[in-house]
Amino acid sequence: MADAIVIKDLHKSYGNTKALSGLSMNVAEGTVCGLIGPNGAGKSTTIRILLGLAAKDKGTVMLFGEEVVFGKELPSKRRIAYLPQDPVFPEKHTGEEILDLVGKLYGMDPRTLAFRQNMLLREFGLQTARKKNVAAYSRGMKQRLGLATCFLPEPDLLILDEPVSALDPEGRVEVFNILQELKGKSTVLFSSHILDDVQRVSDTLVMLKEGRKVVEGPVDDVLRKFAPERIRVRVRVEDTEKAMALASELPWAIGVSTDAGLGRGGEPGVLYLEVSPDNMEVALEETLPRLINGGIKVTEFGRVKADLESVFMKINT
Amino acid sequence: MRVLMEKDLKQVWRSFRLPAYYLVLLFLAVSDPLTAKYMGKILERFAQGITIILPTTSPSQAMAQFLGDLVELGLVVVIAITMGSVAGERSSGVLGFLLTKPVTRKRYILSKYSILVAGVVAGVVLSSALAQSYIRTLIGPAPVAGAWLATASVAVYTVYILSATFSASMMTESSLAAGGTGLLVLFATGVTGTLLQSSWLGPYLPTALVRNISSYLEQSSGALSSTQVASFIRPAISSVLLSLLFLSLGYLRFRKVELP
Repeated sequence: MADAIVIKDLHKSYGNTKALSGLSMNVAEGTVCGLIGPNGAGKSTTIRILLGLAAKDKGTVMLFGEEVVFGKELPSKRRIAYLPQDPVFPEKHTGEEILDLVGKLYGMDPRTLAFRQNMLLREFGLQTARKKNVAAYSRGMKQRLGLATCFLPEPDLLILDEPVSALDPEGRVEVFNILQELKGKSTVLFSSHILDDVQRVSDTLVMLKEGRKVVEGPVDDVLRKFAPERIRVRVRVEDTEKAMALASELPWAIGVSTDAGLGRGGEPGVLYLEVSPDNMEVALEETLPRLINGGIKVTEFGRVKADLESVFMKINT
Repeated sequence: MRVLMEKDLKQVWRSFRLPAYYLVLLFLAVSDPLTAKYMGKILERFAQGITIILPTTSPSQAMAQFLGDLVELGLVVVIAITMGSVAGERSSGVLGFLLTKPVTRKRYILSKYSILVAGVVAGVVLSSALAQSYIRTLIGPAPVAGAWLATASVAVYTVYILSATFSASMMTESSLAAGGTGLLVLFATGVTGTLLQSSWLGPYLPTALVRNISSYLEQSSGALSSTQVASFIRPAISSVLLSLLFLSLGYLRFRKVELP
């Protein structure tokens, strides 16, 4: 599969502050890639350079095989749609007119434009507000309109910066369902702080920290590598140390901790048993009887699914 | 570019920027001939017991007064409607919205500039036509060729100031700074014009455009003399060249502007 986005050794500084230090990453065509990282990690700078809004200091950025050069027209722009975190629109225009403007800028034929405009206004719940000035839209409505402008021209590459930050849970589900449907057809690069969403929707992810890539790969691989599955056990607080000693002797235990390995304070009486995926079944069957036989009173026992939050916390703490 | 121009026209119209300018022009086109005609009577009412003898205002003088006001008041309004055209969209984020669509920076600028120039020039021409016909009705006919040459002079001078303000708007994120620069150029052009009026450079300076208005209107016969036409062409060319220089400098800066 060809790459829609190729970034090699990208550097960018703002004065003395380094925003990107040698970032390299690829996004294959037809995949959904989540771009995550703490504030100031370089996500937005990467997106701005990709879109030709900011100049790079060094490195190569390619979109569909064409190099992005700041200040030069990008022929593949018609294949790209972008949604910023807080979308803004030209003043004194209605929602319907904004879609009309975007469709025309992308050179859509009038019939397709009218059809998709109506469909998206309905889909994003903007049908009744279509003739209202966008200045009167709420933040959520603006984000929905922004998403509609992105989906309107059926682009080959969608770049979304925090696309659901202002949406209600229903709206979020709707957007992620659309992104799921796009898999295989369009490439999606999206940044988000809602790691559950990234995990649910992305095929691959890139995690940035201080302008560098710290993790890249298919989501499942990253989870397997950085967040092995765990068993959560709650015991009486006074039994915690005894339970930890007993659990660490179990042959399937890779590690035992009270903070889920996240480097932050845990709950009193709660311990986490780290287990390799191959031994998880045995661990689930045997751990509880062993603890009880060892004289530990267990009040809660269960499997904890690996999640991106664990990866994120592990890497960023 | 048609799509962008439609969008820009909608914006300047619906935001009341262009209509405000047209209202000012309409007010001047109606009030100036009236004051020219009735100034004597107005003064008589206020100055009771004093005899004031005022020469009768000629149609040419009334027209010159209208065009003079178009320069003085009209240019301030032009600066006000131009200053935020690019700077405002840059600070609000609309520029980023458009440039991430299939829109180039050049087209974006050309569209905005074309709409502003077309809108402002149309206003000057139409208000001049209205003023001429109203003066004809109230006072008598002003020399047609002279009136149109004077109108063209005002239009070119207006476009020159518009271009300077627009260039400043391309260079900064602050509408106020752009407006301030427009006013500064207006002031500096005036001062330079006055200081260098009698030098060899005088006839080529943009201010020569407005300085010659009265002489174009003094022509009693229908046709314009070649001297009059030349006195228009010289400063018109230099104004156009200066406008292009401003625009080029503004665009060179704008081309390299990074957006959030």
